[in-house]
Amino acid sequence: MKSFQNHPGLFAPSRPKETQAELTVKNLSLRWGRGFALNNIDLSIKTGEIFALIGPKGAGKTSLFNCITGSPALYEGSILFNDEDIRGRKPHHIARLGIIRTFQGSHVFPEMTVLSNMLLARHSFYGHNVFSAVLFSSRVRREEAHNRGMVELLIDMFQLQHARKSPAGELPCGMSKRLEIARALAMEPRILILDDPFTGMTQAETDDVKRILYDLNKLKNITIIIAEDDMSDAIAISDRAAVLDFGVKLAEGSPDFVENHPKVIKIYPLKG
Amino acid sequence: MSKAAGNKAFFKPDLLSSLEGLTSPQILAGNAERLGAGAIAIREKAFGVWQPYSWQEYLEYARRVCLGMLSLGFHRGENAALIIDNRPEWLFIELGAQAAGAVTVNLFTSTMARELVYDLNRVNASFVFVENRRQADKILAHRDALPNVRRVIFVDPTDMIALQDEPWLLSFSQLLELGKGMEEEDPESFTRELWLGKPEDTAMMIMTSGTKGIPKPAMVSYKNLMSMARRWLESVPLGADDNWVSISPCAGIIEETWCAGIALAGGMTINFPETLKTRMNDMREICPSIIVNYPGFWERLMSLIKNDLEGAGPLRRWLYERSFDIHRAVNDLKSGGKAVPVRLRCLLIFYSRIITMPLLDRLGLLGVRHAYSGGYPISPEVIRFFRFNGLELRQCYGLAETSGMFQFQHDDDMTTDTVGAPLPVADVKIAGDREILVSGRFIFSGYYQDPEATADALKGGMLYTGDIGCLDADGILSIIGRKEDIITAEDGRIFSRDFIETRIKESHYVKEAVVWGKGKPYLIAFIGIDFENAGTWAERHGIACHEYGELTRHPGIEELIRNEIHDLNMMLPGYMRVRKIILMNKELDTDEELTKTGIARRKFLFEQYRGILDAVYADRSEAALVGRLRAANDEIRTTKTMIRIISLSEGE
Repeated sequence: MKSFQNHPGLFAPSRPKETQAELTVKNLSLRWGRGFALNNIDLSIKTGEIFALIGPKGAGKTSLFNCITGSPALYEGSILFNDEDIRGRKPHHIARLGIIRTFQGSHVFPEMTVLSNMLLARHSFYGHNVFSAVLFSSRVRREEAHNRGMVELLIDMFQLQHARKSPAGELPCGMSKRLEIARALAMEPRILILDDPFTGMTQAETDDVKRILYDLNKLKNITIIIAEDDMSDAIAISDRAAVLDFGVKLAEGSPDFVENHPKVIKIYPLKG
Repeated sequence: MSKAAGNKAFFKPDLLSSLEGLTSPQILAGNAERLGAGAIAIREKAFGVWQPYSWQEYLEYARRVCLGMLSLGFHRGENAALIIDNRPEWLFIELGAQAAGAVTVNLFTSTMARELVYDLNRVNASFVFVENRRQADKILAHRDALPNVRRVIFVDPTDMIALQDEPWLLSFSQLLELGKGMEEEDPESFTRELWLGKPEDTAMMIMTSGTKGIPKPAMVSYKNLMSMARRWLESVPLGADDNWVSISPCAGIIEETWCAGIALAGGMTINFPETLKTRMNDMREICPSIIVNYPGFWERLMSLIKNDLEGAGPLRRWLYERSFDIHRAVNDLKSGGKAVPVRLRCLLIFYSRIITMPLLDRLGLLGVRHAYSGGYPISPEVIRFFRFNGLELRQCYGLAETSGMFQFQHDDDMTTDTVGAPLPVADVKIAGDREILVSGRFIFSGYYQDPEATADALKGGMLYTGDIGCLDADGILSIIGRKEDIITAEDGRIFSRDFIETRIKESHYVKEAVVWGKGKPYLIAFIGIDFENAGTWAERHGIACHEYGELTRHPGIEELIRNEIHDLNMMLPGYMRVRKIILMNKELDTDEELTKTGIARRKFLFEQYRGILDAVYADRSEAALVGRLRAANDEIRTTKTMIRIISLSEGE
């Protein structure tokens, strides 16, 4: 991978202020009819952590992410981002704060090329207006080159070079997932929320993506939350983890603590 | 100034003759001085853009690698192993290490850990350069088994954070920093070190392909390498305007001898593609002027074109076939020494414009002035295919022991089954048992620490190649095959299994073919189908198979392969025909099954399939194959599969 080698500056630790991402979830409950999708969840995620959120299907992981990113606003309790309550904010406002997520299924724009998909994520970083774009002023040129450069770094990192110009809809599942993570990273997140990122990837792909996430977390101090169905890939690189089941938090703490927690062992028996 | 004139200006005869008195790093320094910062030595596609390095930058990197290694306590004459993919750092390290007096050995990045450990100990490597974490892990896991290795230097720092406290490891950028420090302390140190190198010194060790067994390191000196470079440059006009695209593995004989030898001496630009997957597209952007590659590359390219053609519309196909016929007719006339009628010439121009030129352009081959296939035998049909598509593909011949390709077909040579005339100064003879013997200044000095094998190969100044061949009156050499693969027919005619195998592989549904039957009543062939092409065929015919093994057992595919081989069989003389075929139930992909350049290891295959040979010659239609599967964690599992034996109709 050339990114890490040729651009050490780009991966130098950012200023603490730029990466600060304290996410606190307090007494969060979400009702669907009479049942609970989430029941009294408390979580706190610190800046620079990799946090694994584990739980079987239907445990409420995606619901929790939806609440954080503002799609159902009708939850009880509160969600604080850097001590600021983000209830009632629109999803795109929350994204501007630096909370970026990916989805469980494939959510790329199928007709657009990989490159366009990635460049679209840089949209909010363009500062020029339509007139200077038409005139292609020096500022526009500078911005275009800078954004393309950022995108190319990620394309290199996620090994999408050979698909750069092909429509995203034609990609195999694993690559489409990689594109989605790369696109989320192109938005320079403070918190990156990955919903079931490794499904559909081969083991080799999974290992590569895990390594990239680990490196970015350590070098750029990006806080990462990874949701996964089983105790394998996400927990291996995480600093802390929590397990959900039927909308209830069973355990939270270090990966070792969580894996050996009696309530967790009931759903995820220890291997060996 | 025209291109050719420019080349000639670069290759003054005195410059060429001086090559043999220099080492590769000295030539690099000379190029940096002569061509300077203006000419591009290396290009690498990174981040979607070609990034150039001038000759001066190239030298700068090599200098820092050299000084960095010295400051880490490297001694002249020690060996350095490189396990690196095609990228500029490979050449920076290769030349830098050679300047520090190292003998470099390139090993394939696909090698399994235990084999790698064996090779590193075999060549006594004291410094090891690795591509990335994956390669570093292989070595770190066997640290105790590698007592001679003092330092491991990695090029790609991705995912290396976890290993940053490892005292054995050092990053490439740290090495450059060390080199820079030493340069500032003593600016003359590099020049001193550079001129300590002598042309007689061993430059590199090239691992032999190992079709016979374990690869052996062949020691090649600068003199060997440069005498070869000089002959190539005298025979083929190449120079600073020409591009080489580095697409075959660095550890292979072709890439080694060209990038660190001939192309360096010629001042050519080496281009490194972005990734393995983008290489064809990258090649198209560069338009190289010369390609030397293994037959596998040309075979894949041919099946790619044929497969695309099957999906083309009827008009296009018709036009293509016409173009193919016209080219064939012209080629036949020319090779028969006859004049080409004006009508044919006009048609040739017309079809070149509308068919072959756009086709070659799409493949990045339009600018290719010299295309060679070498390394192991190629089917004449593949050569004809490219010639009838407007690319003059020719054959060359060489071994690790001869420092690369010493023999190639010249531009006026129209034959498809010879490897042409030797380069000037090569002396080729045929021994009594038809083994090819070679002598010349490019013959290696021996296998590393293996006097017995060296004595077997070098007798009386001649290299015993182990290949059987014949020379015609004009000194044109034809290769029949490896000595151990020769079969004698009942009437005393000799032929090689290679000869039949390459012909069977002409079918684009066949990827691997291994013929067997020495001392048996008739010949049989193990066939590995081409999964991609056979899969496309199956899809088109409504057969839903997604797995290799499943596809090989499908009656439709059996019928397809049977017909394909039957047709090819008919072109062979009776005693060379294959009577029975067996479709292998798994793709050949592991190190045990294939050599690094993609040749099937016969010995291993026969051991695997030995159990069913009796059933084949007992005329049964099915046999149980007990196989061993090696899982990723080196665990071996036993499997049992029923294999169909397909008989081909006899007597036709």
